[in-house]
Amino acid sequence: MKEDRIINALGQVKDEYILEAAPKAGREKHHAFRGLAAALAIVLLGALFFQTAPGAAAAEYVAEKVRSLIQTLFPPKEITIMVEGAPVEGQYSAVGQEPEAGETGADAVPGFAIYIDSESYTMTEENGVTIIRPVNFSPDLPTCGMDIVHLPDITVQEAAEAAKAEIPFDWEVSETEAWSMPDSLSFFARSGWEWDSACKQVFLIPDGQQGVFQATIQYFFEAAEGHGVRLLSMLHTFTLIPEG
Amino acid sequence: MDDEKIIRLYFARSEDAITQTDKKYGGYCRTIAYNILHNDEDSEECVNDTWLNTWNAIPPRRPRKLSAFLGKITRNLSLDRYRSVRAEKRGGGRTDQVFEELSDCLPGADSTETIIEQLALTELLNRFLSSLTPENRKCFMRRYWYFSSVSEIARDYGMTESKVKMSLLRSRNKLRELMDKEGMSV
Repeated sequence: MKEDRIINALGQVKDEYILEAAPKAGREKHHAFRGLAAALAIVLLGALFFQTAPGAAAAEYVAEKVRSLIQTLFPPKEITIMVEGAPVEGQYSAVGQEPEAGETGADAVPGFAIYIDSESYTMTEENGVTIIRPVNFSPDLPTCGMDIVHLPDITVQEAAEAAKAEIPFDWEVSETEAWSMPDSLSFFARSGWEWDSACKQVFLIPDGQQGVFQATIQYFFEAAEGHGVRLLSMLHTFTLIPEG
Repeated sequence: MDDEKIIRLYFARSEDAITQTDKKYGGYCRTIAYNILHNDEDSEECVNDTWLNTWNAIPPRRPRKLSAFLGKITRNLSLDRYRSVRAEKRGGGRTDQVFEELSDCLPGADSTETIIEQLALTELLNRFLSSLTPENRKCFMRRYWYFSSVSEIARDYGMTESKVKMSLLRSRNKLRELMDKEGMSV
C-alpha cells in the first residue's frame, strides 16, 4: 500500500525529529493480574509474589533466545562414522561457544560450533574450556574426551611448541604436521604401549584473527578405535563462528 | 544509567544491558508498540523482541542516540506485527486511521518500491520536516511516527483537538505538494 511507503520511510528520518516529539510519559509494563488485583486482595498478594524484578524478565527472555543461536545455525543431524570397521549412525547436536565482542575489533573472540553424538557424549564448560566427555564412563578407566580452549595472540606454530612442552618428557611424541583444516597443525603423543597407556592428539586451529583454538583428544590405547575415532569424527565438524 | 554506560554493557555482553535498557526505555518502547497494536500482550512481545534485536545489533553497532535506535526497532517490529494481523482487524480503527490519513499524500497507484526510491522518500521527508515549525513538526511526528491519538497530542502540547487536526491537515497538504513538485507521484 502506498501509505505504507510513507510510514516506512518516516521510520528512518533524523533522530532529532523522532526524539523532539517523544511522548513524555512511558507506558507501564503489562501485568496479567492487573484487572483482578482491584477486586481481590488475595490475588493481588499472589501477583506481587510472582512478579520479577524490573528488567529481569526481559533479560531472561533475551538470554533464552541467544542460548539457542548455535542450535539455530547448526541444526541437529544424523552422521555415520566407521567404528572398528563398522558403520555407526548417530544423532548429533551442535554445541560450542558464542563469539564475544570486545571493546574494539582487535579483542573480539570468535566462537565455534562442533557436533557431538548427543546420546553418547555431553559438553560442559569450565573456566573457558569446553569439555566433552562420554556419558556413563567408568571412573576406573583412564580419561577419554576432548577439551577445546581458545588461546589469544599466538600462532599455530607457537601454540604447538607450547603444547608439546607440556607433554611429560618420557612420552613418545610425533612430529608436528599439517592437519586437514586450513593452516592447522597437529601432533600425537603416547605414554606407552599398554592397553591403558594414555594417548593424546593435539590440534591447533587458527581462529581467523590473532589466536588459536587448541583441541586435545585424549583416550587410552585400547580405546583408540572407539572413543578415539568418535572424538576425531566430532572434531572434523568444528566450525568457526566469527564475531560480528 | 547514562546511555554510554548501557552501551558498554552490551559490548561486555552483560545481561545487565537488557535490564538497564528495559528500566530506562521500557516505557518509551511500550508506548510506541501499544499505539500501533492496542494490545498489551502483542506490545510486550514486540518490546522483548526489541531487546533481542538490540542485543544482536550491539556490537558492532554503537548508536549515537540509543533512544531513537530502540524506538525505530520497536516501531518496525510493531508495524510488521500490525500488518500480519491486519486481516483480523486487531489493533482497532486507530492505526488504520493513521494509514488512511497519509494515503492521499502519495498519489498514484500502488507500485513496487525500490530501495533507492525509499531512500529518496526518506530524504524528502527529512527536508519536509525541516521546513515545518517545531510545533507542526512535533504534531506530525507524534501522529505518524508515534501513532498517538489526536487527543493525546492535544493534551501533551496544550492545544485544542481542532488545532491539532488543522495542523496535521496542513502538513499533509504541504507534503503532498512537495511530492508532486519532486515527481514522487508515480
